[in-house]
This record gives sequence, C-alpha cells and structure tokens, in this order.
Amino acid sequence: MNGQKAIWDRLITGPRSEYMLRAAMWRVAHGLSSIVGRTISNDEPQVKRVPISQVTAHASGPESERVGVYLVLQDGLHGQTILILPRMCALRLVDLLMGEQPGTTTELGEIERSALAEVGNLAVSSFLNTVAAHNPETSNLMRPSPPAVMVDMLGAILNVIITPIASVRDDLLIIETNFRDAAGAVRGRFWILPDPEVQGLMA
Amino acid sequence: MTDNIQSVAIGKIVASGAPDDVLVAYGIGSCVAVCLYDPIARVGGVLHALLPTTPGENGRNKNNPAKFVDQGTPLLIEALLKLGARRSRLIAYLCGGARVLSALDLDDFLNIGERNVLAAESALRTERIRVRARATGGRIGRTVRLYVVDGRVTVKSLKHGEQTLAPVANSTLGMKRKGYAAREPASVAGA
Repeated sequence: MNGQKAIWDRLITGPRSEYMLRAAMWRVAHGLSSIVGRTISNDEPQVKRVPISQVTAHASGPESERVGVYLVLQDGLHGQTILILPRMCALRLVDLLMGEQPGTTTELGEIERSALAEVGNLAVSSFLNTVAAHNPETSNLMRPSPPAVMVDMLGAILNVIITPIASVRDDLLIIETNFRDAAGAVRGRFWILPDPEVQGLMA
Repeated sequence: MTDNIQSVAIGKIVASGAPDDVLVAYGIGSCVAVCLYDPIARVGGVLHALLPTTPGENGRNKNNPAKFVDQGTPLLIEALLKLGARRSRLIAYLCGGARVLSALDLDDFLNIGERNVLAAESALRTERIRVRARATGGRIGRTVRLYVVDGRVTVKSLKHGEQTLAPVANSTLGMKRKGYAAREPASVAGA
C-alpha cells in the first residue's frame, strides 16, 4: 500500500503532479490519434473530489445512453479506469477503427465491443507507461485487467466504479480529462480513480 | 396537475406526501431502490442504496447511512411514519440489483447487485413489510418512478422502455396481506 500510495501521491499532489498528468493524458490522446487516424486532443487533466450523490450528474444525465470501457488497475498501482463515450460517438469511433464510412456501424455487437475494448486497453496502457516512466521502481508491476465494455444508462455504468469506493468514502477522487476530435464526432471522458484505500488515505 | 420531479440520488432517501411529487431514482445498476407506499395516507418514499450492509465493527455509518440497505431501509420507514404512514399499510417495491458488468474476474464485486436485493428483502422482512412487485437482477440499468398521488410505480430501461411495475395502489390490497401473499409478486423482466 505504501508503494502505491507514494505513486498516487506523486501523481495527484506531488510537485510534478501537473506535469506528469499532462504528459500521461497527452500520451493517451496521442495513442488514440494513432489508431483512429485523426487528431484527438484532450483538455487539461483535472483532479476532482465529487460526492457520490453527484457523480452521475457530474458526468452527464443519469439516463443518457453511454458506452463505458472499464479496466481495473492491478499489482503495483491499484485503482479503476473508465472511458465514457456517448453511444453515437462510440459508433463513430468503431467506424474509424474499422476503416468504414461514417454511419456504417449502427449496433454494438461482439466485434464492435472488442474494438472499443482495445481502445480502452490502449488508453490505459498509454497512461500507465507514462506513470512507469516517472516511477521506475514500479515499472514492471503495473498491469491493467482485461477491459469490460458496458452499454447502458450512464447511472448504471457508474455504479460499477462507485461501489468499491462507497464502503470507505462518501466522495470519489477522480483524475479526469475529456477527449475529442476537431469535428466533435469522437468525444469522451477518461477517468482514473485510485484504489479505495488510497482514496481514504488522501482525504 | 404538473409532475414535480424529486430526484433520489445515490445514497439518499426522499419521502413525500405531496400529491404532485414523483420520486425518481435514475439509472440504477447494481444499486437497489426500495420504494414504499401507504395507499391510505398517500405518502411514499424511495431509498437509493448502493451497498447491502454497513462495513465495520459497529455497523453504523453516521455520515451517510442511506448508502447502505440495512441502515437506509429503517430510516425510510421512519421518514414515512413521520409523514403519517402506518407500518402495517406499507407496500414495498424493489428495483435494481443488476449485474451490469459481466466480465472481469471479480466475483464478489459482481454479485453486489444480488446482495443488495437480498439485503433489502431481509430488511423489509424484519419490518414485516412484504414486497408486492419487483424489477430486479438481470444485466440492465433502470430508472424507477413512484407517483405519490396514487402509488403507481414505473420502471424504465433502454432495452424495454417504460413499464408499469405497479398500477394505482388499491388501498385494500395493502391490508389484505394474507390474500395477496399467496400470489407471486409481479415482476418486470430483467435481462
């Protein structure tokens, strides 16, 4: 716990926190750009504390249809990550990934979900690679779980990330950035959440 | 009459006797919504709980007890009694407890929805309140609405649209417990 708390500390409150988060999220955006073949940019990453009762409203309307690509961080750095996309943007993203004309993808079947899972994989790996570069002592210990793709109401998707933290906290510590292409056809939120125990320690 | 939407956020309880109030718990996944209604007093309330039981040795969470089904359910009942409800007349409906996440090797975590529903059933059993209808389990998120004016309960999902879980509450049903206990509670499909 101490080792990973030290990393989260450096990332969230350390003197080079801003630089590291900016570098990590830039790398995520760069990775996404390379697989979709167009420039994806991102907002300045922010660290936020959001009360559990307001998490869904913070992200969007709770009934809005969203696609969530969820991965758990394991081993050296424990936590959760989620890429949240409006359904239409997820369909558009699949079109780009498959080299199809816009509007070709209309459903999210197994192949389409697999493609979106790879996007989640890439985003998280890009983030972790940058974190590892700044924390060489743990570079071999960072490993994300296989991605899980959820398509549902936003509120239901966010239950998944809130639940592990809610037993120890009444709020969520979220590292957040928003991604978009120039046309706004592809846009989404990317959240990184430290392990519940670390969230408590960093209160 | 215009509906006055009262949102029931995660970890919150909303109870009301205002006829134009509609209590809404949006986008419930593994959470559970415990809905209670007294058809005589025409008061209703919704608990939107996230976890089945309060962790820790003393089993209490002073800051936000409504996050937990075991603490939140008695608090919901208490709030309704203050509005004029009688425990013996309360009708219960359950919604949520889904397993939205179907991958990853996290069994305990994945079963949280089922455990939430079991905890709600247990808490209601302790209070001698029967569940009249439910829309629980499955793999879908839901929005539940309780209309204070007549006790109607609707459940909406992206897959099934909006369905009525409970029609207008008949004031006699809440008291004829023996008669309706013999029937299976109504349910709305989940998967």
